[in-house]
Amino acid sequence: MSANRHAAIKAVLQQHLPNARLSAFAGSARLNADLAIDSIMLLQLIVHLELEHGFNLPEETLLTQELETVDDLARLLVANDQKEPSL
Amino acid sequence: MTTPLFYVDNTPYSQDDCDRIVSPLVGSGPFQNPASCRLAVCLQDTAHWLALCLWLKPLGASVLPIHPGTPLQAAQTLAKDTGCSHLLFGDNLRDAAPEALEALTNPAKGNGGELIQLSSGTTGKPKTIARSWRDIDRELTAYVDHFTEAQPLTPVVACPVTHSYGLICGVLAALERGATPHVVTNLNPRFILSQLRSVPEHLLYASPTLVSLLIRILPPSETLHTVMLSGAPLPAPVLNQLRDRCQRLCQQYGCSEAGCVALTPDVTKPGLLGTPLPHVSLDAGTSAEQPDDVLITIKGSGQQINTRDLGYFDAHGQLHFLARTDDTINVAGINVYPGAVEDVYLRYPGIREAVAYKQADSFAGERVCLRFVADAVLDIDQLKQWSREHLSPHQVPAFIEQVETIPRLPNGKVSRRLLSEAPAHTLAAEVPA
Repeated sequence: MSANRHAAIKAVLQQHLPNARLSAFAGSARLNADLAIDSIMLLQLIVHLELEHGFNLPEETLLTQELETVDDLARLLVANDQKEPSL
Repeated sequence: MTTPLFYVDNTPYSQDDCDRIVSPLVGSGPFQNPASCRLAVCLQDTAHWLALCLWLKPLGASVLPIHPGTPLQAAQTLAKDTGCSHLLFGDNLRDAAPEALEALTNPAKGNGGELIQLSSGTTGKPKTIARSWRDIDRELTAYVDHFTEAQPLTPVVACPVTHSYGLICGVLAALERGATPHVVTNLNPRFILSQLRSVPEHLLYASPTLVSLLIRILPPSETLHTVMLSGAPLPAPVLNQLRDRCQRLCQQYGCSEAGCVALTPDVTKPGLLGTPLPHVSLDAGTSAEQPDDVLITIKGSGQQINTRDLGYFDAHGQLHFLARTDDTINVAGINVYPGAVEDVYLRYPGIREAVAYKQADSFAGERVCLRFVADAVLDIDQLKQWSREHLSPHQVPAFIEQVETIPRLPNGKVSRRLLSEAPAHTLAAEVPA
C-alpha cells in the first residue's frame, strides 16, 4: 500500500511538476528542501493525487508541521472512498 | 463569550483574545511610543500578527509585515533595507521580543503611521512602498462603498495576510463592513473546501491558481459562492471554467501604491476590470482601438502612478486591461496584445499553456513569438497552418516552440520580458526534460 503511495507521488511529480528535483526522490526526501516543491506545487501534487491516483489528504490534515518528507505525505494520504458530506 | 473578530482556520479570536495576545508588548521597549516606532514583523502565528496589526494601526505605528517562513537573516535584511528600527521575529508574541536594528536608511516619519510593503515587481529588485494608514482608511471606505455585493457575504481569506490584498481587501475591509473574516492558513485543499462549506455565503480571496485547483476537486453538484480574482487577468478558457463553477466571479485591480482602484462584481470577459473606486481617478484609452497607459491619481494626496498597463474605458465606463505596456508587441506599427494571441492558442486541442512574447526583428520592428506546453507532441507545421486561419496576419507568430514547461519567476508569474531577452536556445536548455 505504501509503495503504491510513493509510486503515485513520484508519477505526479514526473508528469505534472517538471520543476521538482525528481533525481532526489526518496521516502526520506524533504519536499521543499530536497525536491524543490513550493507551496503551490504541493497543492498541485495533492490535487493530482486525488484526481488521478485515488488518494486524498483528509480535511483535518495540517499542511504545515507534520508534513515534511515524502514518507510524511504518503502516511497522511487516504484512499478516496469515503464520501464527503456536502452542503 | 464575546463575538469573534476573526477566525484563523477553525479558531475564533475576539477583541479580548487580541488584547491578551498583545498584552506582553504594551508599554514595553519601542511600544512606549508606538507612533514613533517602525517595526518589521515576521510571526508564524497568523492570529498574533493580525492582533498586533489591529492594535498598532490606530496607535499610528509603522509596520512592515514579512511573510512567515522567511529566514531570520533575510527578515533582518528586509527590515534594515526599509528603515525599520525593530524586528519582531518568532512563532508568536509570547516568544518574540523586539530586536533593535541599526537602520540603513532614515525614512521620513510617516504622519499617523504607515503600512510598509515590498512590491513584487516583475522587473527586478523589489521596491519599498509605504502607505499611510490614513490612505488605507480612505481606500477601505471606498472599497466597501463600491463593492456593495460583498455586504451580506463572509470573506474567506486563503492568501497571505502579510500582503495588501489579503490584509486590506480581505481582512480590514471585512472588519470595516462588520463581517467576520475567516483566514485560512492551512492550505490543504479539502480543508479550504470545508471552510467554504461552513460559510455558504462566502467571498473567497485566493490566488487564481488556488481557485483553479479547488474547483478541480469540487464535487460536480457543488459551486463556490463568490470568488474574487486579482492580478493579471486570466486567459479566456480558465476564466470561463471558473465562471461555470462560481455563482459570482469578481475581479479587482490595483497596485501596491494605491491599493485596489477598480472592481467588477461580474467579470464577463477577459481583461474586464470594472469601474474605478471613488478614492482615485483613473485615466486610460478611450476604446479597444485607442488604448493608453492606465494612470492612477490618488485623490487624497494627489500622487500619480503610471501602472505601465495598457487599458481603455468602454462606453459604460468599465475599465479593460489589454497588456502590460512593456509586453505589447509592436508589429510594423500595429499593436499585438499577448493575451489575445494566447487565448486563441488555448482553444487548440491539447495546448495547456501558451505564452506570447516579442522578439526584435529588423523588418517588422518586433515579431510575435509563441511558446506552449501541450499534452502530446504537436505538429508545428500543422499548428502554423491553423494559426494563419485563426489569427490576423500581424498576430501570427514568427516563431513557435513546444516546451516541457514555461519558466516562471519565484512569485509564479510568467515574465514575457525575460522570455524576450533570452535567446530561444538558452531557454530550451533551462527546461528540464
